[in-house]
Amino acid sequence: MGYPPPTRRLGDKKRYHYSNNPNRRHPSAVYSKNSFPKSSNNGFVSSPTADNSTNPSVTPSTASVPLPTAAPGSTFGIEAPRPSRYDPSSVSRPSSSSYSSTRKIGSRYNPDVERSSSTTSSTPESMNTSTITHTNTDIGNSRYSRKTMSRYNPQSTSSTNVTHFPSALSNAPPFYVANGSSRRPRSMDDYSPDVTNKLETNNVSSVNNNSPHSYYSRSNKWRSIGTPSRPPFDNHVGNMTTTSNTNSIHQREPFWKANSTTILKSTHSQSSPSLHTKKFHDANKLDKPEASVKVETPSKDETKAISYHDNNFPPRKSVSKPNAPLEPDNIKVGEEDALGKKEVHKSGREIAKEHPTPVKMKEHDELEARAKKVSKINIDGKQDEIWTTAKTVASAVEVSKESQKELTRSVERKESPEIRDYERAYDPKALKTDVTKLTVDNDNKSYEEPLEKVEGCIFPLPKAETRLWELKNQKRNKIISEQKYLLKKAIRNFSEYPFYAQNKLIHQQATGLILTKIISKIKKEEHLKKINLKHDYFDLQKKYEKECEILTKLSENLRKEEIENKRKEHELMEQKRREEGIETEKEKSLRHPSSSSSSRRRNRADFVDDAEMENVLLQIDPNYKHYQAAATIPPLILDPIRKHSYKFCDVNNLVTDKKLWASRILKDASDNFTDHEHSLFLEGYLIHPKKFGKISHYMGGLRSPEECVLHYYRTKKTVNYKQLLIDKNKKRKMSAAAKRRKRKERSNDEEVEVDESKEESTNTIEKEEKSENNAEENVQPVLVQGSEVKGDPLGTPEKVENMIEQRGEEFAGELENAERVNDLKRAHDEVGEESNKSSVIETNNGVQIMDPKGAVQNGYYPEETKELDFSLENALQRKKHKSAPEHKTSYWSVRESQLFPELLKEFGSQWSLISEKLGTKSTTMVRNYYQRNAARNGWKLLVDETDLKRDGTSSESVQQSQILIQPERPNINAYSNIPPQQRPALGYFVGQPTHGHNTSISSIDGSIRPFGPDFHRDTFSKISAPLTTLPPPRLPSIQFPRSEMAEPTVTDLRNRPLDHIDTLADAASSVTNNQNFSNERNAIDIGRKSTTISNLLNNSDRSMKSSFQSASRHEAQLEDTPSMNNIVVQEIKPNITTPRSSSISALLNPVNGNGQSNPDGRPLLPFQHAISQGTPTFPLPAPRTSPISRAPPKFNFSNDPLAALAAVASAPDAMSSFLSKKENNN
Amino acid sequence: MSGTFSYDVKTKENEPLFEFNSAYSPRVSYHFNSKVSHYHYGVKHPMKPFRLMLTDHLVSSYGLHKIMDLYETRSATRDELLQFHSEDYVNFLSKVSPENANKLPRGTLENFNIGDDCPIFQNLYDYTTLYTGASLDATRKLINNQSDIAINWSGGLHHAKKNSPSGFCYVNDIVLSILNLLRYHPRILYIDIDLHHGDGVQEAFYTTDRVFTLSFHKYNGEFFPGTGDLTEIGCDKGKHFALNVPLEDGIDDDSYINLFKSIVDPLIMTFKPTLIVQQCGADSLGHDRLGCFNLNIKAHGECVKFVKSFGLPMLVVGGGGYTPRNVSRLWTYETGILNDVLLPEDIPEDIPFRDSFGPDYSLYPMLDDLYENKNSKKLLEDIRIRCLENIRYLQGAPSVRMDAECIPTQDISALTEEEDKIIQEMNEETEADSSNRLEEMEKENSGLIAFS
Repeated sequence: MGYPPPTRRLGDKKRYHYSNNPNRRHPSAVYSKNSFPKSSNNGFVSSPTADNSTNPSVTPSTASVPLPTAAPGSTFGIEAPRPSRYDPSSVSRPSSSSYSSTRKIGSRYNPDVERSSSTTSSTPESMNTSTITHTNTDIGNSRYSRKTMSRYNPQSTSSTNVTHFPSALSNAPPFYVANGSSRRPRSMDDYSPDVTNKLETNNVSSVNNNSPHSYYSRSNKWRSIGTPSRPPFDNHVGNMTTTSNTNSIHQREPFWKANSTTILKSTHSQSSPSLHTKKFHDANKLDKPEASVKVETPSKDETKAISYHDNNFPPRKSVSKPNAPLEPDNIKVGEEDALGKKEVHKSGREIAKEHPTPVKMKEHDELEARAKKVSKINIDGKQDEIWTTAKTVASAVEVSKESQKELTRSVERKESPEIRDYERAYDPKALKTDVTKLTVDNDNKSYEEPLEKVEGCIFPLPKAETRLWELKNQKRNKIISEQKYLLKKAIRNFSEYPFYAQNKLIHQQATGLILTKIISKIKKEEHLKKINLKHDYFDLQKKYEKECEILTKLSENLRKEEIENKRKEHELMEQKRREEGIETEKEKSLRHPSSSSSSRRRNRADFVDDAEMENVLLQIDPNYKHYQAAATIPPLILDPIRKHSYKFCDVNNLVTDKKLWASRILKDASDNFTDHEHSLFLEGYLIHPKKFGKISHYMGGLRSPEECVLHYYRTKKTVNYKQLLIDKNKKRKMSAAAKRRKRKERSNDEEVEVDESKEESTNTIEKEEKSENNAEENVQPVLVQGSEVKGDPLGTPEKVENMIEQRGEEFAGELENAERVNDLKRAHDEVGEESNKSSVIETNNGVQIMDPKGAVQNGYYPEETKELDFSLENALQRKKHKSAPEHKTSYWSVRESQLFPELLKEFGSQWSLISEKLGTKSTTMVRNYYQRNAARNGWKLLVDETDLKRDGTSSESVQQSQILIQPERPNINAYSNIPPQQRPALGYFVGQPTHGHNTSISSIDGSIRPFGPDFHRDTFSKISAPLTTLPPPRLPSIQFPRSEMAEPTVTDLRNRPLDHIDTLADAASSVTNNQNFSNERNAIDIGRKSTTISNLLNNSDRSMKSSFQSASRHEAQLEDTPSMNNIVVQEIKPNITTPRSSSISALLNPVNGNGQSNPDGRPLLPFQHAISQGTPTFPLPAPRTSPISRAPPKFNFSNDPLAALAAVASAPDAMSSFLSKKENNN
Repeated sequence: MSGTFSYDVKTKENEPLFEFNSAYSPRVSYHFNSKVSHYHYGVKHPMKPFRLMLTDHLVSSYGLHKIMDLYETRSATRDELLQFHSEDYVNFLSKVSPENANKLPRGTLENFNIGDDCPIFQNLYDYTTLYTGASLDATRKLINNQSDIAINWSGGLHHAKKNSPSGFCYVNDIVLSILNLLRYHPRILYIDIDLHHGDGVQEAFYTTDRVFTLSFHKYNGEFFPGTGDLTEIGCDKGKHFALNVPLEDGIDDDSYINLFKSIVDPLIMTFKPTLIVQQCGADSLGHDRLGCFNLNIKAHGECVKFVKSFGLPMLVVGGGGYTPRNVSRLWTYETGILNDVLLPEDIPEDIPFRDSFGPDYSLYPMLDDLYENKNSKKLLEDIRIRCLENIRYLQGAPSVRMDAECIPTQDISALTEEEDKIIQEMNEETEADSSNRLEEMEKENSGLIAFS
């Protein structure tokens, strides 16, 4: 006890458990001197016996301690269990002091305790009695505290328990308080050392040494005790006392171990632990005799709790436990008057049980109930009084006396063993060494806890073995920490941990308040600092203003002359003004009245101009305006934490791949506008120069304004935009006249065309179809539309091409005419949208005129022609929408001009083909360009050559094609012969196939999902089948989608960024899709189609091809291809093969009016052959020279479903072949 | 490099085009959003965001991106714009478009100063938020100490006012950036070497002593924006915290640099900013479409170099500049300067718009041959003296004299009575404390004496 505190303890503060103890002692240097001897001699015997007879172990300790500093110590020692428990969590260490001060007031019990402590401390010896009383009361408390503690710990019911057990509250606070009063920060620890000291009365020195260690050692013991405790369950009070003593011994011993000063000690401790544990358990069990069930649980709980508990805990426990059983008795005695003994007893015992071992949740309820009773009892009976007032003290004394009597024996017993222990333990050298070692070793020694109960005397062991033993048991902590999952009631929530409630309680009662206090203090200081700063600032400001004045004076002095000069100038100016101004003012005054009066009139209506308001405000504050314009300055963040530690280093937008960024160089200049887009852009640019938003809009949203801007810069060097604009302005004037003229021309052309068509109706039609095809390829919507209208009904592009070759230049000429029409259209477009519309209408009219004639000659029924007309009208309407964005320019870009000779080489004088290749030029433009520049560049030779060549090749191909074409004609006639009524409405063909193929129908009908990827194949096969068997009419009759329907699709497509459409694959697939649909007729619903197109865009053209191929190659591939309709297809196979081929051929040559009959299956192959050979004269697949033209041939069906329909209807196979061929080419 | 060493092909490929100027190089971050260059102000408008793309190209082709952090920034949010700009104006900006500009209630366009200078073009708001976002991102990196020098060439639109656009500037990203920085920096120096007066920034910080605005510009009372005389020195608390250096046409390299250094040096020394915002408007170069100075690229860069030499964190923003090729040259050069590297004269071969840089294909073309220098030596000297006089005022300024941490950051008129009382109490307390302490000391001493 009195053992002078080891010096190092001062430094121990870091470790709160230790630090407190030492510190506490430190201050009480006197205490150590005086009290220690006393405590050792007197304190033990006298005080324990007299005072704390109940607690054998405790009382001595308390007595010993209290004397010196110590009333607090004693009381605390008794109450120790609680603090001990808190200790582990013992965050409260530093705070405890403040807490105590605050607490005292809060908790009724505190004051008493404090007084006692203070008194005792002041007069250690004399105050013994008082301390005793206190201790008694404390004991009572300790019981409660135990109960409460136990409850709290295990149950983690903080507030409720507190209320229930006033004692608990009282205990906790007093403990804090007492400690706090004596030594604030260490208060908690202080008490613990006291306890230890008391326990180890004899071994004071050792105790002291140990105290720092005590945490671990004790806790270990605790645990060890806990584990062994189960078996020796039923021990009684008599044992209790002994156990308590043993416990005390135990505690010392472990410390010794910890210190590892001497083997002897260690042996001591080791040997003792076993005993101790048993006994200790017994003690615990004694408390819990009733609840046997609980006993087991408590052990577990203990283990859990141990992990959380402090060093001090075990010793205190040992102390408190003995007390606990006693206390309940005391309580009983005291409360007998008020309440029934039994209840009290029970409660007391229960509490005791609970106390040593953290109560389990299960039992929690029961315990609570009991606890409530107890608490009630306590409350009702005495507690309040006890703690708060002298009465309570007195009563407590009485109670304690009664209990003391019983305990005296135990105390005596205790003393003897303790003394023994002391003697054993006492080894001054060891003590000394201990001190030093402690200082060194404290931190490291956390394991001395016998994990497994040690049976018999293992110790003493050789050093190595002890070490081993220690190591073996070292993991106890871990085991325990993981035991939460092994518990009967696993700890699921964080709040279920016992320490949670403890900490919460501590926070509520101690730390929270302290914290608030500290924080408020800090804030106050901050505030003060700010005020000071302000003060300083204003001081400086004053000085500054003075300085400024001085400076300005100085500068004024320096610049006197300047200023005077200025003044003079100013005055002169003013004089002049006055002289001049007299007149002007007069004038002004003459003028002003009106204006001012008007403004006044306005102002009379009780509202003031903003300007006037501002004037007023300016007069008030000259800086008003500046303040109006100024930004509101945000305050500087002064809080260092916010300023320096709350920073968000955001690297989310860091470019990690710098090379990628640098690769912008490569990308940024490459223009990704297609020719078509470029032409649109040009037109848009000319209409809305540099208004890229409008240009983008003009382009139909194909490109965003940003892209347009980029495009502008990219092409700025190649395209002379300024010149273009100038040209355009010139053109504007021209265009009106030109329009008229061209109209005339066009009408002439049409007449010519009509004539021609009369002569060679088929040819005209074919020509038109050809142009359509070309248009499709070249993404020339204008052309597409124009030709499409004509070509749709006939829908035989391939054949047309053949025919064209046959005809050679004739067609070319005709095509030129057609081109001219388009040209006109374009011209009109340029003029303006309005004129554009009209022109479209006109051209369409022309087409209409033509078509019927051709159709008639082809053998169309008049009804059909009517329908055609109707459909044409629809198409017309569509065209109106379409034609707007599609324009041609007369501007020959560098690329185009470079490309031109090559095209000449390729196509010779076929201007139309060239124009289609170029895309942005009409036939006439091409021709004109040629005529203008031919002489200069010597193009004539080129043209002649190619023309010659072409004549030769065309003648050959004509022969071929004629062979092919002839036989198929009849089919066309067949369709055309069908009465119009039979023509399927939209979606008609969904149901149709029944006619053609019975087997396939059902499956088709069921499975037809026009947009599914598998659809094409099946549909194709299906379609082909019906074609032969069915009356042909259905095929040719291409349903023009209703105009309303068509519009959305068109717009949709237009709106869709061209990316989709651009690429070959996509375009091809879309085309093929369209073909399928038109063939199928299932999907004629156009609204759908638009979606389907987009859906189908994903399909690679390969699949399409394969489908076609499979179709042509018959069953084998069909079987292979997984499709929904597989079964059906298989059934179909035999039928399909022949009919389809024929049907295809029929499709291909619809115009062949009076045909030779088609040998089944044959024509298909040769036809494909012809196509695949791909004569260079063929406009479509011919390899292109310039990179851009090489770019995917544009099947712009996506832009024009109707054209697609037509194309599909006319030549699905051709399309497929094209695709394949293209691939080959590529 | 030549002569002593010879490199194989591979080494040459990977050899940087730049040479390091000195061993020290601050952490530089380059903030950009490539989309900013995709906007166009409209016909005949001199402001061409496209110059930013040219700049990026040059910077990356010189390999400067390898030695600095690149941040591809997000666009600023509406709330961020509202830090300075009025809600009405921001609403207007966010909603207006060429299509609906005519449908707005009459007077709104005039009210918001929309016209030839500040047209409404497509996606105007996107543009403004993009360049503002880059500037704000730069400030964030500066605040977080992720970089010492943050560059945003797309920013620096210094004319924009609280309630209206002005001079091609819709949102004043500089003000927004400075406001952002003021939370962490007690004093900020703003240096503007644009041809035009940085009136938007000056206005915004005219009344505060925490931001010093310094602007070198052409001034004759009429030249846009018509402000920026020597007499504009701030008002109220911000008096003497704004400084304008009005210049005449055709100022040449030497006189400009001399003037700049002789003003900036004492200014930084006295004002002691913790951060410098440098606006590098490129229209002060010669041959600028709207310019009238005779500055070469190197002279312009010398100013930046000088500011950088103070070793303070810097936010460097662009600004004017209406001859895109020269703008991109300048900013590339200054990017190199800020990274402490020297760039070779020849413009790299492989950049996409190399044609723009013809015919000399040099990074440092002659730009000083267009105008006559109308700035007499006397005039410049006079300006210099006056500026220095103004700077002298700073020396006693409380917010400069006080420690950076101690500057009152909110407007305070005076101490309240309460505060006075508290101060008095505190003073008494401290006195009492000291006296007590003295007593204690004496006691101890006496005790010691007694002991001894």
